[in-house]
Amino acid sequence: MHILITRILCLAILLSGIFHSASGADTLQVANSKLYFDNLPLTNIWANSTNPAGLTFCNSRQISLVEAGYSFSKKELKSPVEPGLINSFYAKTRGYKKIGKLTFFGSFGYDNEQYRDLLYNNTLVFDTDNPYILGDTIGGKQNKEGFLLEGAAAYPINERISIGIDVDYQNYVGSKQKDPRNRNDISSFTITPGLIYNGSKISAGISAGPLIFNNDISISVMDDGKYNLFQFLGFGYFKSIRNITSYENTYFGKGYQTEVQLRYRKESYSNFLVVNYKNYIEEVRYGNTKRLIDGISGRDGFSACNYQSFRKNDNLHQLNIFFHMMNLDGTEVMQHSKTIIAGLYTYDTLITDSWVEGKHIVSNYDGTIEYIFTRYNKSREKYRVNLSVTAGYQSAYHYPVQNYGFQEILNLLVYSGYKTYLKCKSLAIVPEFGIGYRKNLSKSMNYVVTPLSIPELQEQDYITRHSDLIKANAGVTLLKRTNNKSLSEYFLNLNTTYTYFPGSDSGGKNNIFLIGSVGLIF
Amino acid sequence: MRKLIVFFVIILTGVFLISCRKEGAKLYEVSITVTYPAGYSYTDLSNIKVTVMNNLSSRQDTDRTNASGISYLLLEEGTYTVSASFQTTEFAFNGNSETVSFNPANLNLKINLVAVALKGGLVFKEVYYSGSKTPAGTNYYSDQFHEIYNNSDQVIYLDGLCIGTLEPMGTTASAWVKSDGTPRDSLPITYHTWMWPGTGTTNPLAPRTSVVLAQDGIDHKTDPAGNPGSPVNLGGAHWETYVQTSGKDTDSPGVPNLICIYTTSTAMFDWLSAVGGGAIVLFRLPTGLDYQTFVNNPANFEKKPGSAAATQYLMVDKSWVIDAIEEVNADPTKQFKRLHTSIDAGKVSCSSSYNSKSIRRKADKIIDGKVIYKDTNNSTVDFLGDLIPTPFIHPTTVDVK
Repeated sequence: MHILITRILCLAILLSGIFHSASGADTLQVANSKLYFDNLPLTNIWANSTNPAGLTFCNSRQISLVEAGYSFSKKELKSPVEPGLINSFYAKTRGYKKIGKLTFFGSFGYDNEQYRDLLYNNTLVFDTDNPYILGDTIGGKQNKEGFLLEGAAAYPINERISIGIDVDYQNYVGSKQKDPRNRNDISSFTITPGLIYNGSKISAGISAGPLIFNNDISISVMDDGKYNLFQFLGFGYFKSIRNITSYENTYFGKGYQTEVQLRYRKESYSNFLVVNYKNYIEEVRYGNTKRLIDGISGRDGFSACNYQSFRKNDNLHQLNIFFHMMNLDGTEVMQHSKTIIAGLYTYDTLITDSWVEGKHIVSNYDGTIEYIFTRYNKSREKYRVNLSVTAGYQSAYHYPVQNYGFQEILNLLVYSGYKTYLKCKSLAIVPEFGIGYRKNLSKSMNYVVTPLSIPELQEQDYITRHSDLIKANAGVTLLKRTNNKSLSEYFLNLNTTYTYFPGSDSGGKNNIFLIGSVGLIF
Repeated sequence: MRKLIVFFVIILTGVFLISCRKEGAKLYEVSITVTYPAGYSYTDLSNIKVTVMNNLSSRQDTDRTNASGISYLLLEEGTYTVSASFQTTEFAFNGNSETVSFNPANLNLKINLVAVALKGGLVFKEVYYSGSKTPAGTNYYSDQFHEIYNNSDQVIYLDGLCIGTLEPMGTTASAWVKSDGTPRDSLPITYHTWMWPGTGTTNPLAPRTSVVLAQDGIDHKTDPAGNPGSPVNLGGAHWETYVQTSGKDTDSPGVPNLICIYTTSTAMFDWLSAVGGGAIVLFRLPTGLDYQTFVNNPANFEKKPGSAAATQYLMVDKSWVIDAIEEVNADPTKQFKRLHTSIDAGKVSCSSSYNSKSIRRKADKIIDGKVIYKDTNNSTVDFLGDLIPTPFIHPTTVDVK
């Protein structure tokens, strides 16, 4: 595997050298190209925010993309609630269009994912921080198929003020082909209105909106056996659901996010600050009427991202600083329903046996400093080099800690990438590669085994989170211009990422990710 | 530089606001006070074993009471099953409290012990109710058996002895409870109620010997109607529950049948104990009361409280019970008490249905090669679960207490 990655990297460097010399004074067409979508966060700084009013500043009258692709992921080291193997087919289309002063964005996608090597998770949502996951220990083929729709529109009320709205809806259906079979109906909905004041030097924006998530899980058994399920409670601790032939639960989440943006620009200098706060509460409910609660996870997320750029002649310097933090507070609930007999009639009432807040608390902090240097040739990109350093701290405490345990992990990731833009007649070639190294700076873990716990879950999660890793990625995008008025370009994109875990804990494991896609720009 | 300072001020503000998180769940000191039953003269309350199990995590803590009969334990907030047990040469004391909620507003519990005289007598030695799987993977329950042992030094006659299982058989809470949630004094028998035949001295059971009561008295391992996957040969069973009225049950030749004195269902063609665990009782009618008179008296029947169903359940007073076992589902959230603490203060289970495993009473002592089984009316401490069934066979060594 190392030889393969070395060869890919060498080939990418070689190709970049050949085409670099061949490119000469040729320039890349970005306006009606896939590169328009790739470079959108650079050409329209508001694309780095959730503010849909930023669509106003898109500089294209009309551009659309259709893409179909396949990705493959094989993880030897992974979170215990993630699949080891994923095959994914997808198709998507998206585009921007201006009609008068209105700017529209629309996106429609189809995903078909197949999972293997997946235990301990019947939710088909691979949220590694969520303590309340329904799972079993019987593997099998899992499929998930979904449709993703997003629409947005922005309108400049006057020269200074723009408004916009974005609506995003996703719906997935998933199932396992082996008893106990889970059928998942997953849907999420967000709506985000936004407003931007656009001054000559200073611009400011605000966007906010609700988030709604629902995952109805229905477990059934086709043969005459009975199976056990685990309602995990964090850290591998679980509530046992035994001898079932059917079972139903629901993950119901609701929340909101709010974001403010501030932009300052002066000549070729630009600074864009995005501060985001997200609050989200998800309940796991079960029972025929989904009245009984197993657990509640409440999340507070805060992020601050600062995008700073300075252009001098053909050189663009970007210094980005990202900070993300998330606190998850798990409330463990035990309830049962009781039939009350009152004379000649009966009714069911809900009894709360225990409601323990602060049972499982997760804190994630990530800070990244990224420097990007882009060299231009006659206002077209020539190559781009980036270097980033990320420090990440993660802690998870299952309370009372004396009875259960905790883990704390501090990692440092250094990553550097290179991307160049080459042209040979009507064919543009964009090779890219990068290499990263994650080093664990500190770690500690204490775990108490109880009658209802699976220690392997906690141990595997701990190893996955703290293991040192070496990551290399390489890819190439081929863009072919056409003379057809209605079809401006077609493209082919290939990318691979290889991760090696050299540490003794992880046992020299490898993860690999491949993705390939073809598409059209019109 | 100024912008960087502003950026970091924003980050620090956000970190401060979100990091003001609440504390995690803590441990609380809980006091459990144990008291003797009224009228009992023994005053030493120290060293009584208190066991506390968290109903969600199954985490168990044990402690001993101090001289005041109080045990202090550090527990997390949650719902617990608390039990206390103590034994003298004459009495077994048991106290049990289910679904006790300990939280910052409620950190004290009082447990009143119930005394039971250690008189020996008939006890369930072993019950195999879980059933087995056939080689084809289907469920098989016809190999269920109950083994009854004479734990005394005198001959006991089985004539007139009755056996039955309580309603509900499944994993729902019992509706037959008092206003405080504790089981009623009269016990509802569901499906068949069986009685040993005889005139009073027809069927003696010698001291330290047992009889096996089979659902079907055949060698289940080899019989064509059996199951090669069954763990038991019940061809030598002493008694059988043959449901003659159904016309569908098979009567094993050579194995005498019990008398069915009443049934709540004529559709059942086997006497099926709940494979997930039921509450089983062994009882005798009061002296002078014959079973025909008993079952012909409408006063001895009741409908299920809160149910519109017309089913009439035969009610047995708890004072008539000789021995009983609270067999429960392995899932702690589906364990509901049906038996009063004075009959069985505990519960016992097998890890799953159809796992070919039985529950057996612990061998307490072995004297002259004969077993004295542990009998404190607390199946949690008296029984072992998930054992390979051993009908007709008694342990040769004492079980770990």
